[in-house]
Amino acid sequence: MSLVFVDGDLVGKTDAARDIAKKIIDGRRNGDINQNVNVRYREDIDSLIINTEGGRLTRALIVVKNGKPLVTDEDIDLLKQGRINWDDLIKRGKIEYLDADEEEDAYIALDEKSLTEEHTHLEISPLSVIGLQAMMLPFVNHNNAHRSVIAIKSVQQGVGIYSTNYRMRMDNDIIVSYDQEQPIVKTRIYDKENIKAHPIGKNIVVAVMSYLGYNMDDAIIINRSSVERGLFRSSFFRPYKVAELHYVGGQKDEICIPDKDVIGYKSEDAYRLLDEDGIVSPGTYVEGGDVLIGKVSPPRFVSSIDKFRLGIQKRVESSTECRQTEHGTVESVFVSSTSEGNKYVSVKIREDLPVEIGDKFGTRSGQKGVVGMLFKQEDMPFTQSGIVPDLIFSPYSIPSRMTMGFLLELIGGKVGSLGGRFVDGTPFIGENEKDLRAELESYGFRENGVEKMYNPITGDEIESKIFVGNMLYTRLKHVVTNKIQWRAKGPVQLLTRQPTEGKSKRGGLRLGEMEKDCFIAYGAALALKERFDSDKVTIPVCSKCGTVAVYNVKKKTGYCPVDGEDAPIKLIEVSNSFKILLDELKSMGIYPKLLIGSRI
Amino acid sequence: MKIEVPKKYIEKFIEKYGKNADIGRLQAAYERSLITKGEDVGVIAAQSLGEASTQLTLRTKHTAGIAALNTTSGLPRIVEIFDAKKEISTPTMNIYLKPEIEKSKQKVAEFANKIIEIKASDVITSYNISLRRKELTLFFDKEMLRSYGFTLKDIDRKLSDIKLNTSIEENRIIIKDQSADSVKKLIRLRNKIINLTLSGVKGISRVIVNETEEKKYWVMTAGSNLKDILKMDEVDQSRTMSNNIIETAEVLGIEIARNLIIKETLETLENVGLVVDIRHIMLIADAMCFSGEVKGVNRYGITGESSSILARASFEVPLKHLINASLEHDIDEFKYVANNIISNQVAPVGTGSVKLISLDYGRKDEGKPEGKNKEK
Repeated sequence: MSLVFVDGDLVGKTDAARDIAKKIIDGRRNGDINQNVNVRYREDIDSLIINTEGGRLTRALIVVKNGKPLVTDEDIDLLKQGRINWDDLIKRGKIEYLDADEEEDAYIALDEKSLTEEHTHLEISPLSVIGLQAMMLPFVNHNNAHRSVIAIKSVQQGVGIYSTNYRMRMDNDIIVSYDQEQPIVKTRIYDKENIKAHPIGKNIVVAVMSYLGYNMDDAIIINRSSVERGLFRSSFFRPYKVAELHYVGGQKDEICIPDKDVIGYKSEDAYRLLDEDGIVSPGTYVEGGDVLIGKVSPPRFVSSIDKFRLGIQKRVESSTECRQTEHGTVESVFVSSTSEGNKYVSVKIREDLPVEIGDKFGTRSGQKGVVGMLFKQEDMPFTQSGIVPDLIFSPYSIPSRMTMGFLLELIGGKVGSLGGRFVDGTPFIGENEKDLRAELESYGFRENGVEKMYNPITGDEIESKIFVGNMLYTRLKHVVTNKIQWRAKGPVQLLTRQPTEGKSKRGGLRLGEMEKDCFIAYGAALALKERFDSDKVTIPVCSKCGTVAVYNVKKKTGYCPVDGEDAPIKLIEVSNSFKILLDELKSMGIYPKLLIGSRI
Repeated sequence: MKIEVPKKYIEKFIEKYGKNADIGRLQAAYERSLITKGEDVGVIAAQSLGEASTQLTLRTKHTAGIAALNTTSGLPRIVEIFDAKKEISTPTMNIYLKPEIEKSKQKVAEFANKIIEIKASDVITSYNISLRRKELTLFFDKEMLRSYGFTLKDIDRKLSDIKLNTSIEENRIIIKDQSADSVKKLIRLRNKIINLTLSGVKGISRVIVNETEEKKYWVMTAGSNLKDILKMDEVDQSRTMSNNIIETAEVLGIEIARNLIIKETLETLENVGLVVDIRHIMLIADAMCFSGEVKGVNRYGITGESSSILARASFEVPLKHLINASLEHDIDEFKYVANNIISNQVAPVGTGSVKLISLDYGRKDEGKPEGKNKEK
């Protein structure tokens, strides 16, 4: 007696669970039962599970009977002619959707070749074992699965034209690359999904070799001349958005050039770029600290209104300025209103991002790296036919990661660019290696893709043959310009007088506990003291009783709260955090005393 | 400054290389291996071991080898050693027997079977408590008893040894306790009986006989009881050892415990393929053992005994140390690294350990001009 569950509810018992399951499946294929009903008999808990509700993940499979798929070649011909469609196949029970439960009872063949009598279903395409994003990667079946995951992450971070109306949009932190292409080696799904409209990457000439040590450890070398011709040229957009707010009491913000009597007025120079309406005009070059949108607000707290003065309340400056570390040209200015009817202004800044050392690039096989050096064309090695690579990739990145897809894409790209055609790199069912090699050979190149190259400095032939070809490289959104940070001196925290933290606050880089240990282990005690001098203070201490005294530096006089005027006061240098520690101990009721000099 | 090479090294050197050998070479080698003054060996030892243990967390390898005894390894074991845990998770012993016994596999196996601890709970199938009759009835399975090699009388004798009033009936033993006035008391009595060792050495739950390359046999045990094992006649006291450091310190003394710390640490690291210089571990072992008892590297052990208040306070539970220091009127002499870092002074290590002293008419200045001390 097995239990019957419909959508998780126990509805009854039955003796013929398997028969019911079979009847439901047959009924669904005949069209008597809705195609979205799935059924499964679970032996371990002896129950029949019927699922009808929405929200389940289902996938389409070809039904197999006696080792023969129900979708025949005739059906495919009819489909091609457009005389039947997908829904017709489902209605005829040739294709059905299985959910996670029913899939457990199915025995699915990956392709037609491996079909046997026991199989119940056949994959429509072997591609469907991987996800949509992985289908976009060429020859992904030749790569380590883990690498493919990394490759998907890389592709997601690629910059290209993410949306064709990007100039109208006000998205935050956007990088757009202009000269992107669709890949030479692409997959079939690439055309089906219309990714062509949003290309990420460019087909460039890649040489796999180490060159002067600038591409060790996953670094890459890029041809500076190519960059100067516009390779991977991108722009970074940052919108600044401001709304005129209404406050309680009828007061409101005002977007304008602030008057000089406004509290917190910056300087005339800071407002120089503003037009009459208090907003910068498109095409202006702005730098960090320049005001983009001038705004004055009523004071945040309705402070003590002078009883004797009936003047207008002073207003507070609240302008929006360009970020300290950024600069660029004003791309566009939008003036609009919010849903509450307040004036709304957004200014978009565009910053040009040519390729520089430290920018990140990736391929579609998980081989990502940063630019280690940019060489001029005349300093790059060249092939016998005069081809100069745009990028030099390190061969040491290949063996440990086993990304054979990378190598196949390189050969495929070479074949494609020589033959003037696209290469099908669809996983499992794409063009195979042998044919690609043969085609490459027919163009007069070595079938394995290597070529003779020459050292640009000496003109000598490079001893080994270099593997060179074309492949799609993608610029990733991590660019140094947005990340670089340094500090020699700068803002400090109010309480501890230690340097602030974080890039936006021009913060310092922390010398932490473990770094401190390294200084000690090295024996550099004086260097360590200097590193920690950032918050040093000089405090007067009464050398008689050990308390912190009061001292006038100019008059060179002072007194001790305990011992009075005649107390011998000494100035000592300690860290401000130590002074705070002493103060906090005192507030806890612990009385710390400093014994100075030769008292012990 | 000429550094004197200790006499014992010179003697060894001459012994090895002959009288005509160049003593200068020994001098150079000796000087090279000395630590410079001011070198912070403690931090270097900590870093050397700390770097290795970051890799320990990443790869924990199971030892597939001779015996199926699964001992704690990797980082958990390192933590166990340096924390000086009283009860380690997998205590084991390597028991070596006297030369005349260890060649015979049969004799070693006999010995191994002898030391397995059999508890009363292993043979008792069930029990019954009656408060009215003030008695506790234990039921036994005769088949099982025979397989362990006991009779009811043996068990009865054992129980009588701990002064219990017992009687045998068929397959059960009835224990009368006239003083029992509550079920609690009877259950306590039962718990006492269940933990009774019927035969073997207390604490040893499993034994495995291993063979060396020279066809000699030795015993590996799960569970450790060094004191009782060393008393046995068959055992070779010079080679038998336990991996429980605290127990070893109690039974064999602090020097052996120190050597055991070094040996266990090196072996644990070696198992995962790491090499740390023995001198770093020796330093830590010395620090743990020099007081005469094994102390862990934690706030209850050597870190909590640092003489600097601020160094202790900056490690763990600062308030406790600060308040105690103020009550005891403690003085922190600012001789350590931690307190000098906190107050931004030059720490007395490395370049900070030397000072410039101005000579005024040949007379030394008194005291240190910049040294500050803190009192609570």
